Amino acid sequence: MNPATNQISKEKARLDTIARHIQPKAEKPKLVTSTCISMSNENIVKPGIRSIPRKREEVLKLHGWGYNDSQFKMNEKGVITFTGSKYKLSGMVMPQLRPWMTETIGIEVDETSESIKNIDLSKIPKPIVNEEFTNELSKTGMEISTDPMDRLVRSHGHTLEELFLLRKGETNKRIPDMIVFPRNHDDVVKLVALAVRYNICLIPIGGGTTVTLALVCPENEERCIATVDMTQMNQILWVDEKNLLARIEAGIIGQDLERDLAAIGLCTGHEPDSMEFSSLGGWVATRASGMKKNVYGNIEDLLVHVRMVTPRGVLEKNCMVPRMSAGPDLHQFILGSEGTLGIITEVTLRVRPLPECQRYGSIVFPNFARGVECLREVALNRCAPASIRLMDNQQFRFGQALKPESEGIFSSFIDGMKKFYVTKIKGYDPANMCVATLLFEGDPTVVAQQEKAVYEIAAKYQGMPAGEDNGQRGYMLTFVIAYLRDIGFDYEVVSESFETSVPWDRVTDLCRNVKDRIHHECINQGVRYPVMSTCRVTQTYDAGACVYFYLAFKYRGLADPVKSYLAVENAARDEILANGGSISHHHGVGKLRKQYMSRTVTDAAVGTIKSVKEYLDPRNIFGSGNLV
Amino acid sequence: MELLYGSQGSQKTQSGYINMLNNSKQQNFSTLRFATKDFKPPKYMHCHDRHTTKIWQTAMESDRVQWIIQQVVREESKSEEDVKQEAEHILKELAFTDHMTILRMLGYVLFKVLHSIYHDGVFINIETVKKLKDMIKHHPVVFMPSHRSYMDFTILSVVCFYLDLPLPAIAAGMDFMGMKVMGSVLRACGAFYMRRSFGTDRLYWALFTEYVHTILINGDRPMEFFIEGTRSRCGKSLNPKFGLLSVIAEPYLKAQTYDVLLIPISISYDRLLEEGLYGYELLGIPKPKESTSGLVKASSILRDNYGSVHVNFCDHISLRKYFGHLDRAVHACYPRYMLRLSSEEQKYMEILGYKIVLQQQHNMNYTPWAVMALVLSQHPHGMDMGCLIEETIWLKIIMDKCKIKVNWSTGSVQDIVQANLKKFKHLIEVEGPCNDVPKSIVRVSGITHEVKGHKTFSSNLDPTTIQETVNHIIIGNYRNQLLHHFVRPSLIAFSLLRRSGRSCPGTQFNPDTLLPDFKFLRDLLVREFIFEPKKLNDDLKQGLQFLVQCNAVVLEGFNSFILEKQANKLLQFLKSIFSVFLGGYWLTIQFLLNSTETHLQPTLPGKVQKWIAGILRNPGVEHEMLSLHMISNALHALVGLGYLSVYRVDNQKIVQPIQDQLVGAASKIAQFIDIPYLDGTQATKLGSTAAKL
Repeated sequence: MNPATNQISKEKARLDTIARHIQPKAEKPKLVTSTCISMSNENIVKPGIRSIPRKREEVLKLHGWGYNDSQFKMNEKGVITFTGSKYKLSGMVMPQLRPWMTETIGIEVDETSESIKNIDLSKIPKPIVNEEFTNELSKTGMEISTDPMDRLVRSHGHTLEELFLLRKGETNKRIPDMIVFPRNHDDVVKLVALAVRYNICLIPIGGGTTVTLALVCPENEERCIATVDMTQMNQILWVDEKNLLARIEAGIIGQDLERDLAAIGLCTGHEPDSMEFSSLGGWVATRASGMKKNVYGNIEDLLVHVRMVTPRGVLEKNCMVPRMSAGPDLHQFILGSEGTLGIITEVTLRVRPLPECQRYGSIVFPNFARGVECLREVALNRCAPASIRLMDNQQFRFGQALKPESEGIFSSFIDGMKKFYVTKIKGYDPANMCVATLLFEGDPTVVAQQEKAVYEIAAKYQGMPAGEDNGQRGYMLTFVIAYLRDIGFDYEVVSESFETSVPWDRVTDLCRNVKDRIHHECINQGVRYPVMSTCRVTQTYDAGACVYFYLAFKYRGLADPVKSYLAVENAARDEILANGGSISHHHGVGKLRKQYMSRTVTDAAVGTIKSVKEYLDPRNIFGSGNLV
Repeated sequence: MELLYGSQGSQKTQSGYINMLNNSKQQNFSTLRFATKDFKPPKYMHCHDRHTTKIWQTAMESDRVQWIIQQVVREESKSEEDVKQEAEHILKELAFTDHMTILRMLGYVLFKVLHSIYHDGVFINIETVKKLKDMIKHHPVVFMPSHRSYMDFTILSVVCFYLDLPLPAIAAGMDFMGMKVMGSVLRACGAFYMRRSFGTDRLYWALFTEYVHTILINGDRPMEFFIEGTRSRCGKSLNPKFGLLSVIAEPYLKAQTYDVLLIPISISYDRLLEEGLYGYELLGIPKPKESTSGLVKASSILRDNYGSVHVNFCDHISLRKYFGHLDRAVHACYPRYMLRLSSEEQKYMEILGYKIVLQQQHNMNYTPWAVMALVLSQHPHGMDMGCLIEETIWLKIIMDKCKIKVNWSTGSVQDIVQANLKKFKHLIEVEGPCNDVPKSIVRVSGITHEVKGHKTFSSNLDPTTIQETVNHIIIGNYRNQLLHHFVRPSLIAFSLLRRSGRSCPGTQFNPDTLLPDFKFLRDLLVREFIFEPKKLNDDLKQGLQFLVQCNAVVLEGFNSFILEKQANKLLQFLKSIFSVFLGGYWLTIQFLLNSTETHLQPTLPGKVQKWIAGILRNPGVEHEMLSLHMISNALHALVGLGYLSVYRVDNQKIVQPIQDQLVGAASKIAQFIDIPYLDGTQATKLGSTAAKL
């Protein structure tokens, strides 16, 4: 395929995806009426564009987030722009962003830290090769690669320390020795069998968006490490409309899955913020959570059937039922196994007809605590829209700083905002107020009822509707925020996000205490510039919420910025646990938070996980070292 | 702590201190200007401004209170409406209000009062306050002053106003609320009223807890409370109370605040306003009920000079740091409004309480008068002036060696002694030739000016006994201020002197051999002085260090000490200071051994006191042993040691002596002191009176 045309069509697809987030569906989606449930209905779902090619570095950045062409960049006038053409924000100029970054984090135009453009591939660690294994494997017809670039791009995820290293042109001491590209479930069965026979260490990789060091190869691993790139297993195998099920290969990337399903009027509704790049198998392996879980559920709610190839054989259920009472649910051991037990090959998810109606909304609150109380009551009354998110004051102001020069949909927003300020916002202290963004989805009448209910509750907590545009913008920014870390790096800023889940009564205290802890720890670490620590509530449940923290500081003057950063993040995590929060809501444990597992569950629980691992994988073939 | 005084020791140039009163005079800062000054205290950064009614409403709406209300409704079958009304009533009774005008008016009056009674000034260690001002912005703070006088919280509030520190919300006793006008005035200045005991009333406990929590968490004001629970009437620190401390610590332990800073504050007085009242109270004559008219009558005292006051803000204790090693996630698996502290937390809470009291003690300031009281109390029947001066000088040297800071004003010790005798002439009489000062006799005055409002008839003692005892008690109280410095070495002295009666220079001893005696005496006096629990060895070490510093013993080899030539005087002195306590305890045990009747706990101390009063003329029996405080401390200690058992019959607590144990304890005490004389008939008489009853 010609990469150029491929690129263009991909961009178009990307725009389409985003368009779905920001525009109500104009026409009623056509429903596919097929009732066939056999294995031979592959033709129903036409495989569309695949976002991540075999050579992912052709499209994706080598040492940063996302697409090659998309990044925040300071232009010659000293104004920050967003480059590329894939996003609504692409090509726009954000005049307020640099002053904001100077004020809140202390960046200076002439204090920069460029990343090494091209990594010297000759310096990449030599692979440990197991020739017998390679020979046997090549007989199966699977693609095998020992190309240094292939190995490099699959050796890391997106934690701060990994990217910091890559930007310096360095790699970990140990990276995958070879990459295997299985084509289907049977390939994986063969692969695992051979790995057992030749004692090979296997590490599965999907989109590679992990932020828990899950892909890092254990330094002391002396066996050959074969990283299993699942992205070539990216087909929707079949769709069963009667039972609203779809069987999908685990390597499919989120946006491809949704696009293909949308073509036949369906969706899974699972939209994690990383859905452009992360894979279905990765979602299952880390217990992912989607933005619209209030309507569609989290991955564990969507999952009806899953196949995992382990050294003991394939672990799966022999029926495909909505629920069953047959001892502990084995799916719960596969969900969150983080590549330590086997390779997830095929997943059967619930699917839903595409929603008829999508509406955005936003509410301003005088302060964060009131906002939390409102979200809690919304959750209590079970009238939460598909997504409801509450940003704290600093993020609210950050959102303002991201305002582009008036153009397109943004001009109306700004006008709306101005009017809004003049007429309504009096009495709100800009230093305390915060905003909640809403996304309603579903049947128009239901959406209308929900809107009414939510705004009524908001009024009780001095929350005022602040317009549809504001909400729409918030969700659009979701996808570009991840790109901000890279421009931060350029100006000597380290930044990271991390998340937790916490009972309602502790949300406000936890947010305040963790932010305080971050500030105190940054001072301890000798940070000389203002620290940004901000949070938002991104998910609501009956019993609590998911909270996301963003943390950024300029490291100029620190001997070891990564070490300092880790000290701050660990302090923050310690505070989270002390405040009754969890180790993670959906990022998982990996190797980054392994040290907290013993504080999160009891010894007996850790032992249970270990003994399951011991049974399924006694030789530690899946030796990524994640979790416990 | 550094020595805060210049070597010249002039009160005017106390380094590190400012004089709140003096300063204002110099700047011609009139009282009126004080009361109308700008007041811009620093504010806690997470504080949301709110009205004081909102504070108690928040407490009312809290999860804990709602939960308890539901419990009460269910279990006591009351209507929800009634319980809520009751709760609201309690909260209104509790809550403080905030009226800056009233406060300024009160400030005006208080400032004037302070001027008129504290001629020498009110001193504040300003450097710590500067640091404190910054800390207040970042964390909620709790002031924890020592409690010796009613003046404590008024002075502290005026000091806060003067220094632009936020005014505290003060946990005050209910007795003030009863005062007409003043009750509300104090309330307007931040006092909120707590019942003395509310252990069983769960609704009250919940309301009070939440009220304190919401103030603490939002940081409306610094919290202020007295860890000793009540005013110490005897000059010594009291053992800490843990209830309110736990309430204060709970928001941190349950992660409702990032941190809480405790600021122990030592407030020391040259002369207490309540010195007389306390003297009577310790003899069992009830204190007059707090009333505004009583206050007005008491204003007669405003004509006297009470010297100076020292307000010492101590280094803060961060709960975060203090409890840092405990995992707060233990509270993650149940609702936070249910009060549950882990046993570890309770253990460290107790240690924290002691830490605070010890810190308060450590930062007290002492006057030469306290040193003189220490000497005088060794000579209850009087001594000549020369001897008084000589011993005061000797003690000064000892105390200098041990870095116990005393405000020795300028001039010779002789001048200081005579000046103080004049100042305290209402307690001390000096007899003898004016021209030959050293020969004149100094003795505790037997003439007292009866304090109005005291009903002597309700006492166990006859008026004459009271008359001749009360000044001894008062002087004992001044002496008591210093005793915590001496108690540890003194317990060692008892042990060293037990065998031979006197110490021979050159004797070598191993501190481990002292341990059993040290432990026995420490356990016995545990109510009397502050000993941190489970720190027996540390206490022994501190005592030895004192002796080393005074050159009474030297370390020889690894773990062995040798007595020096001059040791005997010091050891005898240390022994004699504390003999009065052991004597009092011994007598208490004798009473228990010889009395055959059944004793109810509340009335027992009075009975002991009455019996001791009957043998007051016996050699070795001293006036101070009539102190009810000492007697009840003895009884509590004996209960704690298991020598007495207390059991309940029909809601009454009965005290049951355990004969063998008491006999053992008495004979052990007798090894340490010259026991008071007791003839056979007195013991028998005791038995027969009991038999008659």
